[in-house]
Amino acid sequence: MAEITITQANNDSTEIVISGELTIYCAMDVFQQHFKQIKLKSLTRLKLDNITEIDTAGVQLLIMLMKIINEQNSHYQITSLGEALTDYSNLFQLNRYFIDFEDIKVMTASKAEVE
Amino acid sequence: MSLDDVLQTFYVEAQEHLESMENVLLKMDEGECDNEMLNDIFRSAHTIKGSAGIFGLDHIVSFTHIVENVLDRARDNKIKIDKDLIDVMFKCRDHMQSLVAVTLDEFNGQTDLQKIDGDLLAALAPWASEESNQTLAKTSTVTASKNDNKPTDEGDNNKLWHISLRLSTDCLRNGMDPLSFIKFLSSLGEIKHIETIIDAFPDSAHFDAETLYLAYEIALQSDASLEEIENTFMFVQDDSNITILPPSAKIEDYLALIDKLPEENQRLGDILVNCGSLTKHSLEQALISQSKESTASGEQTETHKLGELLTEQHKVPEEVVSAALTKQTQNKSKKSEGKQIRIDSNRLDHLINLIGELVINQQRIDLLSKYTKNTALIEAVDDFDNFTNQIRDAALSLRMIPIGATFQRFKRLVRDTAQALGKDVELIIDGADTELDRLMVEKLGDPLTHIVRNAMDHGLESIEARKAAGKNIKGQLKLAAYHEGGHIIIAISDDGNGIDKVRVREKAIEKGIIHPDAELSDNELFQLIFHPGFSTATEVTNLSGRGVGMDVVKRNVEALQGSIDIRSQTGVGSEFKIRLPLTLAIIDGFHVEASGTHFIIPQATIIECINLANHQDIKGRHCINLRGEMIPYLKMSEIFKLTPSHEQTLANNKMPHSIKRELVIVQFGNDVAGIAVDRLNGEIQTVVKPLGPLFKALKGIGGSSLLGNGEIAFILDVPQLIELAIANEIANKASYLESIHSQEK
Amino acid sequence: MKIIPINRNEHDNSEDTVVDKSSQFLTFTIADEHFGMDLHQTREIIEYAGITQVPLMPKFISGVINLRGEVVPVIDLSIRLGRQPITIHKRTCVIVIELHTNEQPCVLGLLADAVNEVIDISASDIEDAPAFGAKIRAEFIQGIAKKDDEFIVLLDAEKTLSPRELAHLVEAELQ
Repeated sequence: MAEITITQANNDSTEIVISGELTIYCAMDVFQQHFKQIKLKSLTRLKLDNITEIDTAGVQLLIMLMKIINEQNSHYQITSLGEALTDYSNLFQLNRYFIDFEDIKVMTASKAEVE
Repeated sequence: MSLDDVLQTFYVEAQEHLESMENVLLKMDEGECDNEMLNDIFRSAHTIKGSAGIFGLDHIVSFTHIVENVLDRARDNKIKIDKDLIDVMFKCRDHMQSLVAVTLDEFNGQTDLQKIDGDLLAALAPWASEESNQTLAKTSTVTASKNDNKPTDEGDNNKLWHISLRLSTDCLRNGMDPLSFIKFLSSLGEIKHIETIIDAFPDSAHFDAETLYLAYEIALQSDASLEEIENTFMFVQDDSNITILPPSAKIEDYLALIDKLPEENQRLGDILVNCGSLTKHSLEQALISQSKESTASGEQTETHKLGELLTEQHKVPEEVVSAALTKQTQNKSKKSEGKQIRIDSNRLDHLINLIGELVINQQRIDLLSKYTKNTALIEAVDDFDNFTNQIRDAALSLRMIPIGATFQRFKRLVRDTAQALGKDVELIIDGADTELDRLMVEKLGDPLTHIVRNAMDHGLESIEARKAAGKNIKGQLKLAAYHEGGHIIIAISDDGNGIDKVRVREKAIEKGIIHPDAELSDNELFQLIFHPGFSTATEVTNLSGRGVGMDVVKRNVEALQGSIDIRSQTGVGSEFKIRLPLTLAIIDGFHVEASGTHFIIPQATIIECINLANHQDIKGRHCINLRGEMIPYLKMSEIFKLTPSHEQTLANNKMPHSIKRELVIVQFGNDVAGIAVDRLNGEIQTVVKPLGPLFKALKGIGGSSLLGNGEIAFILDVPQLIELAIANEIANKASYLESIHSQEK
Repeated sequence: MKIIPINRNEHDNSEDTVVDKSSQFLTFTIADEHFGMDLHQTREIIEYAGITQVPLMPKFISGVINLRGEVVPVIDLSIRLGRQPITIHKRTCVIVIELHTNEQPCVLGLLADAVNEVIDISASDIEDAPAFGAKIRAEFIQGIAKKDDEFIVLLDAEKTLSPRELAHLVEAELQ
């Protein structure tokens, strides 16, 4: 089970620490309890290095989280990816999502235009 | 489909492949060997490995990989198929079967399985290639290697496939993670590029964490065949949209793909260029022609769909494009011959039950319509009757499967048993196409195994003995299936020494089964074999001869409303003949009445019906002379101790002539007998309702059935009934003799 | 054939199960004697509308009935309990019960003179079966309850009507 800690820091930033197994088995709960109503400050720091296991549902959660960050006009900073996420990211060649945030911005933007 | 269902499909398919491997090995063992067979067995191993890979069943993958490697080398004529290799392959196949039966965790916990694993891999080593031996040396958990599909024709290493995945949105929920596909694809070759498309993501308010929103465009460089790549997606849901473009795909195919996909065309174009599947140049070319076309037609470029244009422009018919785009999920049944759909057997049983009810209802309507004497109605009902029967037959045929697969399984048993016993035995299969009710086929496995083992063990002689007897040293064991008089016959025969009547007799006396003075016909003597606790083998072998089995065989066959007969001739051979009804669910019967109780006699046993009043009993016994033949008969009211109900007595008193004494002549095996009843009510088609465990001990009645008017009738079990009559007669005779005896005193 | 479905009381699994465990029993009468049976084992009550006798059966098996397409054996409970056979009259009814002793459920019909009511009996009101004097095999009796000055013999259906034991009795009869 994943453990999520969200800290609203004084310096106008939000820190989200995700650790443990971020998988389909808890994805629903994690989203409902932590991300759906989340209020972000202008900078969001993501600490992902303690994720021990991640699957596609988990990755979707992270992508969603990034979209939320984008929706709320926050900026993000990933402090570290951790082994599980790095493996997944390498296999799916997702590094640019997690390292270069632009893609998500572009995509959400282009989608908005299409709609 | 949940993951469990999908896994179930994997097990079923793996089982089929294992069976097919076994069949090929058996043929090889008999000395046949051609490329087709090698391809077959290779494909089976390969598919098992592939599917196992998708489920992360690494223990299966790593072992099968080596087996596959050896088979591949054999296919390439790098190694020769010899007896030793076939023996090892048999063992490998069996081991694969054990591997399929356990999960990865279970495997890791079972040292004995791991030991077999290691032993077999070592045994395979002489045939395996350098490369796989190295992998073998390195680690025991080899996952599918990138090079495992060495192309048969070398050279072209730039085979770039494009795979477009729009998986079912329920994919994750059902336990399928795209992760496993991507992992497996990377084992088939190199993933040059993979583009994860997140366009389908909703906003946070509508996000469902268990829905798959991601789509993938993949460029795979691989020498694998289309089939192998397709097999990766064997288990995905039907509503997934998967397109595999082969390296030979044309730009048109790509454009058609772009058009087909939900995402915006320009973006998809870019993605495909990113993937390397399309070059910027070719895309631009297409776009230029697109803009030309649209200028010509005076339309806006933006509003014109790329693929539409191309299809028009190059006059590529839609079918051609879609033919190039292979949708895997529709492709699954391509290979299976003869079996197109899998249906849950419970659903089928439910359908057959419902049809059974339909048949009953139909009979009621039939009855009612006849009361009305309305000709038009009666005709309409007759037509309806006709269709009901057709529906019934069609439904029942759904449950029929050929016995062949069951017979086929014995090839292996016979081979192994013959080897263990040092005998030379050839198995001949006849009538493999004969169809039986699936339920029966399932329940026949055990009895057949016992009989076959027995024949191998006791029936067929050793090579020396056969030589001495002047017989062909190769013994023959024959499994045959055919129809005979409304029954299905399964016959197991051998050309061995036959049943040793003297030994059987001695043994039966020794075990106290028969009295030393008992006079028995051959048939009676043979039937002793089925007596619990009977065994004729002088030495107890580890295969059979423990005296359990043959009585179980008889019970199993009887449970299927069947019977078993033995014929045997000393020195020539024996035959076990199992007689089974066509189906267990519905029978064609003859409705009779005795003392107000309704009975149904299975039609297949009836020879004719005669009026008893025209025949005289012979010497006061229940026996008549029918065209010169002595026919014993039994009276239903006597044998079942039926007392007419009150109403019945009243009715009889009113109309004493309404009861005609009728005799139904039945045949069972070689026995002919009559059943005396009060009234014949005609043919009836009826659904068998088992009477339940309470009445298990009741002999002569095999089940019950509901008549059109809702009344209950009992279905006669004719062989049991005759047995019962004989037993009663013996008992009566004994008590009669006893009474005379005591009078004399 | 009129079918009277058995309504189980709603508060069956309610909060009061903690303190005083009460169970619901279906009570019925055979020859002026009152019996009760755990409601959970009963399925429905139908009017007696004739029965098809099964040949060669011991007396306690009255026969079989057609229960909506299902062939169900009917037991003369009175004989099973060592009493006189039940007298069939206009109001005789069949209590259909379902036992789950073995892996497969076993459906049986029981002949009764009348079905009375469904009552709640709390565990504390159930007395142990008397060791003797009940004229019924002690293991058949789950307990004795008293209601309105009448004794109700609560039967243990699984013991009284154990399909295995009944089948053995049938087998013995046939030999």
